[in-house]
Amino acid sequence: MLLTNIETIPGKSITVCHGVVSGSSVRSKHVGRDIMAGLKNMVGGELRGYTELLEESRAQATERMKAQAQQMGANAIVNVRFSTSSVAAGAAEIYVYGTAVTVG
Amino acid sequence: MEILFLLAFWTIPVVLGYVFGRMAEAKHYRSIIAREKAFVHLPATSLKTLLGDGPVARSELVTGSVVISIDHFKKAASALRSVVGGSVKSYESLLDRAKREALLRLKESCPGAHEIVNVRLETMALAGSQPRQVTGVEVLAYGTAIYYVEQAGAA
Amino acid sequence: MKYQASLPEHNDNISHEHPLKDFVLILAGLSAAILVGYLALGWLVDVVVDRMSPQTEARLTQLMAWTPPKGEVAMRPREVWTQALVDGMAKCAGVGEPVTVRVNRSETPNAMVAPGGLVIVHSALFDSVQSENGMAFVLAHELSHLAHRDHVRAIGRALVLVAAATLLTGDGSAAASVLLPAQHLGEAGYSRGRESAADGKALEILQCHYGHTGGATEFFETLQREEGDVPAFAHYLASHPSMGARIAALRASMRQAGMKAGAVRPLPQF
Repeated sequence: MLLTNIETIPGKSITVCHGVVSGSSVRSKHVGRDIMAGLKNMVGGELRGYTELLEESRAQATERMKAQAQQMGANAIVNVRFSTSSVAAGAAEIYVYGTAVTVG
Repeated sequence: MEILFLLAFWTIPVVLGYVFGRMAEAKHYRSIIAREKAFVHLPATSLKTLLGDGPVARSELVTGSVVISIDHFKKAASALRSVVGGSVKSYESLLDRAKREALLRLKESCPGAHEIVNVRLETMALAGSQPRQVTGVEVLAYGTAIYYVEQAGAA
Repeated sequence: MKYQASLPEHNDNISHEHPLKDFVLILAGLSAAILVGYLALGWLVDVVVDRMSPQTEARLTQLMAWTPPKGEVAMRPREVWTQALVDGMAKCAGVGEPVTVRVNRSETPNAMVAPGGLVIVHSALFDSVQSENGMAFVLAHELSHLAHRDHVRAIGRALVLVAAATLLTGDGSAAASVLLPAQHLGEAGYSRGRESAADGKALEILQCHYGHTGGATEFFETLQREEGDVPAFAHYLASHPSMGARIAALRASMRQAGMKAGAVRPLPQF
């Protein structure tokens, strides 16, 4: 499954358009990550636990989007866009969406 | 007596945040500047058209993200600012670092690519345990990495 | 399209001024503004209470008043005697409303006044003074609080300052809890001022009632002997000035006004 965030797949041409597909996932942190975040808050700096959390979340959302496109019979997704939001204290929602196409 | 404890409770995190936060920030900026120089050969544009011409071997969606937390000094400075209004200068460096770091990680995720097109940046605030409290900022950079067929070479 | 690798020379996305400059400036400015606001509001409450009519004061104290339960029978003789003493001084004190005296059995010597003209005396006070005049001074001090309307002032200040703090910082914000200890310090200072004023007026009441100020410092001297040395800085947080300070202030006032000590009347045996 090819993914790009431009409107075409360079080097290939789009033959069929299948419509919008999307994937979302909501993750919440666990206590271990939270304690480190509390300490890091004292001095600032990267919160690795959260970065990993959000990356896993994004990966899962992308997988779901690809699965949806597969079901539709597409082999590529173009114009992919991401959207993240913090839904509750300690939970993040990742939303990925794009247009599923068949490229030849 | 409780006054002294309360005073210590409020000033110690701010002082620690100032001292260690400034050190961490300076170190991060040094790393960012060095890596930006190293990756300047890999163009990342927000255009939808490709820089080079020639056949494209493959393209893929690439991302780079980072989460940076706020230290207590920045929090205190922005709390004071929120009373009088005006630009929150202490957060400017936080967001600047986060965006540049995300872009660098984007480039680092596809070292062999010839260019990255349609780069988009998304910023999101991380909530804390108390309502309306911001504990950190996440920046996601994503784009499409383009690999040209080798005989043409980089643009 | 040709790509030319380039990086900006300086970072225009951040301000280059020192981060502390902003912080310190705003902190100093805000602190000054809060201090001025605090003093202004306190002064306003004092002005309003000074100009208040006796009817308004009576209505307000009625709201705050509290009738205590009857004291124990063993304390009755003390109560009767103290009531007579207070009634005798009422005219000199300029207290319009009737004052009720209660004596409670307690190991700690103390006396306090509650809104509604109630004076509560702890029984141990009788052992801490050596004469009727000594006791009269303590009672006169409490009557002075009534005459000065200090309870109305205290409640007025508390209301006004809490209202201002909540208005400015919003409900339940962290800033309110930061302001609280600062307010505590300020209120302690104000309270000490009111106590000194009550001491001064008590001296005048004694002079008016007995014709001299003998025995005025008896209670403070007893406490000073018993308490010993307390670290000086603790008095910044205290609601009352230190015993030493109060004794010195009384003596200075007596000298300044030309008041003299005279023969004191004995305390009856209870």
